[in-house]
Amino acid sequence: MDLTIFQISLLMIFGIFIGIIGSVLGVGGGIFIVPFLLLVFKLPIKSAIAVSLVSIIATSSSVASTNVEKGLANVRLGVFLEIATAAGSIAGSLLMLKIPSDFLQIFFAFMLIPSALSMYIKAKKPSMEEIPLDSDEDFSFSYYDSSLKRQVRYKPKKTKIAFLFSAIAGMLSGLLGIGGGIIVVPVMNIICGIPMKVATSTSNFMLGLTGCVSAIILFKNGYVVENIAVFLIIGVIVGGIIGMKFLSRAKNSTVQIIFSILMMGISIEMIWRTFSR
Amino acid sequence: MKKFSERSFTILISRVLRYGVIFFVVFSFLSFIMRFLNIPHSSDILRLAIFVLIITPVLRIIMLLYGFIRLKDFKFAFYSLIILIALFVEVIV
Repeated sequence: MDLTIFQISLLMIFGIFIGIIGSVLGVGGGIFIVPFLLLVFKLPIKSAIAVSLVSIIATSSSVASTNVEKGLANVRLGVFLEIATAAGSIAGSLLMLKIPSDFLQIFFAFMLIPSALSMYIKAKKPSMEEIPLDSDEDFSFSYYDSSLKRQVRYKPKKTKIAFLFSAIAGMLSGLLGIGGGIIVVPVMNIICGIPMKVATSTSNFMLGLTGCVSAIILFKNGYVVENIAVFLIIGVIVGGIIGMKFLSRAKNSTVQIIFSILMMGISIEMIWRTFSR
Repeated sequence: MKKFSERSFTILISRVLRYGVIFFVVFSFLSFIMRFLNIPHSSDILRLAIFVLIITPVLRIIMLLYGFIRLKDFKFAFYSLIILIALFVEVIV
């Protein structure tokens, strides 16, 4: 498939957008990439998913490499929750849930609304309680916040509940084609109480692994359209760099507000899509 | 042997990810140049670049396992091992 200069520019600009939302909000953006490839490039669904997964891995690897070094991504918490998402996705594919996907979609969409509201409220009246760093705790960590100009220490709470929700995220990812960031970020921020920037960075770190196996299988079977993927990925890498610059200076509450708007948008879109059929 | 600190651990993990991305960028540009100069196998080079990029998360888990063992953090080494096994199970399922 030969691409025109216009198509190449379109892919790169779109990639920059995906890279920015991936690095700032910790979501892979599959929800945007798949329809974009279907509508604009007329790719078959499997190829669109394959290219989307490759792009999600690119967002994760390029952004996480910096965030892990800076201490923004909490590696231990990420690894812990990855067990849940991996187990969830295996369970999902084994169980082949007989729940109609319309029901699942509506249920999920309505779950997003309270999460969005609670995150928005948290952003409007942030409680600046400092949790003392306890070196014995597995997940306690600290990061340098450029917007506050100081080291911020935090200790995630209720990690077992977060584990449960991550398993559900892993299960839904296969069933609804949702990458998991949209679930994992609010879980880490609202339930575990960790700073928003750490939540999105840790989610971004985890993203790459979620779709990795499917990506490898689709790649092996030739579904990855290489010359479309390559320009999208280059855009994603550039967007990731721009997004990281923004994230390190942004306030936690700013990121929470943007994320809650994204959740509301996705929720409305899902409800609309289900009822318009 | 130099002491393997928490800092060396973070650097190790971030390097694995960064090298994956750098490999992709270098090889995809190489394939563009080859294509431009009509050198054969440019598309194979591009395939290789993308392949390396999509296996970086797996390499990252392997390095996490190695790093946690070096840190003597066996709990998290065990967690990493579970994920690695889960990935293989996923391939089979």
